[in-house]
Amino acid sequence: MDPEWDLFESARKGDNKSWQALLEKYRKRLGALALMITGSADVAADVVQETFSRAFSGKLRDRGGTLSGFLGTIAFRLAVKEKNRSSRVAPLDRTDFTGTGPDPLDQIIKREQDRHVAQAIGWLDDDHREVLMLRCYADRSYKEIAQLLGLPLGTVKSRMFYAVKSCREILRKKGVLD
Amino acid sequence: MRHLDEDILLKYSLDLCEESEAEEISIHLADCDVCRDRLKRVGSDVAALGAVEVDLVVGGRPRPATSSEGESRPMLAHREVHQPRLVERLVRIAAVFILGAAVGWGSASLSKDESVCVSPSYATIAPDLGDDGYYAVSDATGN
Repeated sequence: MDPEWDLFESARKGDNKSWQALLEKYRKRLGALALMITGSADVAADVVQETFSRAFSGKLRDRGGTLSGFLGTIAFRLAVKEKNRSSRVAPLDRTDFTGTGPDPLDQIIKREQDRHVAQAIGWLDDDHREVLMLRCYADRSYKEIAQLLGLPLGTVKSRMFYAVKSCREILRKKGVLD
Repeated sequence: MRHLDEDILLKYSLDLCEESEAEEISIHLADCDVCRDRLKRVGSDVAALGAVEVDLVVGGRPRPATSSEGESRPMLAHREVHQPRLVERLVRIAAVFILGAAVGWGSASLSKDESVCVSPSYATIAPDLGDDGYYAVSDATGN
């Protein structure tokens, strides 16, 4: 069993030190997942908060997997739900992740390379982006992604390949990757 | 020696190859420094895509769980989110209208004695009848 579950359980029962450690370990990654799906920093912050809230109050049936995958899947579902219903969500292909627009996100994405990567991922269509997010930020296997999204395994693999290939090409053209 | 195609290396790096294909690639990589270096670069690109960090301010720790709470509420990840059905929605809408009508009627019935302008005089609606059986009417001077 993933040893991180002990930390989680301790935080869940009210230990503040464990909570701080858990938050520090997962908030940036979950934040990235939520931001790259919703395109809004405010919504992403709410999604991360709600992820922990749901995880703490929910029935833990998923302990066979990793804590990262457990939290990532909750965050993913919440982010997609928010994206589909919230007026605060911005169209991702028009979200300026590189910090040159009217609402720069460079305060929350510190590394320049990360901003360019986020932008490249933001330009993907929803279908490809969701597979990439579940694989890279929710640590789900291709088989699990296929089950979660109700897709054939081959489709998931194909979307993953083209998502990564497309992002690499964009980032190479920009000179972000060698 | 013929080197591996870039797409093949990407597929291999993402663990997307069939078992037999992956085996062939592994054999080639064992003998080819160039492709090993290229694979390393592909791997680092893939890692960069999954390494974005976003520094969001998250609120305080959620309420500590009680022992029974954890058993009673299934995770979002494992349950369908409840969506009200059409009939349920219609009942809710009807309830809002009925409540609105009741509040409107209630507030109207509370203001029985209300002055309105009937320029140039002010009349008082629904006061007691005067001795002569007519409503008393006062003008703007209060006479």
